[in-house]
Amino acid sequence: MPKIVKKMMVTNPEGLHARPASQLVKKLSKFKSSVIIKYGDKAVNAKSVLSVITLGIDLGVEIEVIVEGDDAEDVIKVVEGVVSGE
Amino acid sequence: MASKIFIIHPHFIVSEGYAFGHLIILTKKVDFQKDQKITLEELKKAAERLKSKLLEAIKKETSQEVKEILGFHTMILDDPFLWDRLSNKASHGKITIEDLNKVRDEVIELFLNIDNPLIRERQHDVKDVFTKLLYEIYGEEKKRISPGDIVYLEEIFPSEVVEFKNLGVGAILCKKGSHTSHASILAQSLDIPFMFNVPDLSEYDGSLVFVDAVHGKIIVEPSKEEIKILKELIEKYSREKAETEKYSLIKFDDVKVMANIGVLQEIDFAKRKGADGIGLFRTEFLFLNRKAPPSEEEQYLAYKKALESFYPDEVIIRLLDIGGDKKLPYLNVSNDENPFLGVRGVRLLLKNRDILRTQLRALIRASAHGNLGILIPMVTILEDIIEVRKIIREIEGELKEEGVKVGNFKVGIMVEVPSVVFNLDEFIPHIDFVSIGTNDLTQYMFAADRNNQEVSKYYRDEDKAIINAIQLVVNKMSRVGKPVAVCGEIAGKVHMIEKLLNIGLKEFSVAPAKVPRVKKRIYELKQLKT
Repeated sequence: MPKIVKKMMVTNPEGLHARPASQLVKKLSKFKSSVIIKYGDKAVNAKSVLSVITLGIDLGVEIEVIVEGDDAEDVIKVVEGVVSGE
Repeated sequence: MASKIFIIHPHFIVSEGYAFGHLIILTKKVDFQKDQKITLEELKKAAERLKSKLLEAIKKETSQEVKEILGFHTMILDDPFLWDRLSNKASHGKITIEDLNKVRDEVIELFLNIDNPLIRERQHDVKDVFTKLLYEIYGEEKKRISPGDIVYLEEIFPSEVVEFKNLGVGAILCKKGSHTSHASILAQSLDIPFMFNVPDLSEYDGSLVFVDAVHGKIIVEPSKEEIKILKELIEKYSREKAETEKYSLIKFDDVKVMANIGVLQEIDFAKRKGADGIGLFRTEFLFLNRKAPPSEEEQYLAYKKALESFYPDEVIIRLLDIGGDKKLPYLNVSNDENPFLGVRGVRLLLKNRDILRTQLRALIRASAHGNLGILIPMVTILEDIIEVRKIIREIEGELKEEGVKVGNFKVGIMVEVPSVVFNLDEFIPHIDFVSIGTNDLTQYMFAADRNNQEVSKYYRDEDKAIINAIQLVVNKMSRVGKPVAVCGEIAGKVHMIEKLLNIGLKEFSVAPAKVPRVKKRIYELKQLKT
């Protein structure tokens, strides 16, 4: 199964607070791949809005995203989209 | 179609009365009791229902902000992390409300650990969603209830009794129950007909049902002729009851009819029913269903409320009377093989001095607000009384030293063990009053457990042995001019009142709902004499 590990800079002005986290989870729900976000010493399921929000990710920090599954490439793009705030 | 009749043994009538209405079967428990369990499946279904309601609301909503919040709530309901946590806590596919709340608090904790205040704020959404979910689980079935309906459920919780009263429920039928539960006490207080040990009536959901909680009978789908007769029966009963209620206003010069209460909600009810004081205030309700004992302040406020409400009438408050059969997490209880003959009442209190002292401090502080009597439960030997009185003196001293106002109060004992009846003379100098608990006294005199159906024929609380015991106590006490009350079931039995008056009893303490009936009987007997 394809696996992609990618470091990203959070440029979304809202970080990954409630609104962007909700957007992310909503978008990811359409995909099969498992998605993990690592920040600091924590790693959480990116499809859990509660887990993502409570990472407390603010603008300007670096996170690592680990995607594993057949649609991993599309998923990484979606994550990048939300994280960059585009 | 022929009507179907179920006979219920009168032993299982908790609160008397008649009702006629549609049967509503409540399959789910309807309260937020923390040890109550629900299946994950049920929880998921409730979450789905709630989600579709929220999505509906989002469609109609015009404010973008509110839309986003509601959308966030739907996502919480779907959250895989949350469901993982819930599954972990569940055993055999079921989770308790307490664990559900624990998961909620864990999630909230995650929010609270974040420095960013905007994120921390979102904890409220989590709380909100959990609250809505609980309502979804338990609210659904109760929406079916309309005034006059008869509800059937497996078990009932105290808060539900109050809720059903407010919904205008005609009668409550339960599969499980007990006479001593708070739900039962409340049903009596609030005057809702209530029977337990009722067979499963699920197949009659929605049927018209007649409930006779006077003789113990349930008639499903009665015929037209039967309905006519039954309606007349109900009318006659209500008329007589209204007639009896008038007697709540009567006060006698020489006899007092007081109330037994077991929850704070009963204070006002007892007052309305014309109780001449509280003859027995059971304090167990303050201690049950919690992890730590109630604080002195909490107890003080409860006792103060009762004392103020009845002032200048007397309020007799009984010290915690818990048996070894009830395990409270904060109580030091030994494993008695026979709890009724083991560490209960004052025996337990003397082994749990902190609890005893806290309760006594609260009581003695409250004594400044009314006419208090402190009642010691399950006394068997003189040393018990002397020990408790010693502690009372110490606490009085402490409080006075602290500058706390202390009123006058009396100290009395429960007479519920046969030996006390015979040894009363040596106890008398150390007590101000007694209250005869004929229920326990009967259990101990006839060696028959009141809750055991198998031996119900041996449980004879109207027997001459009991009457003689009461008479002995009344005689001994009246010689020294100290009062005696009877607070067992017998005091509320209309046909026993004449006998009790004849042997010189002056104080009856009964369930609040029975006060008018007892007063009526006493009034009638007095009329006959003059």
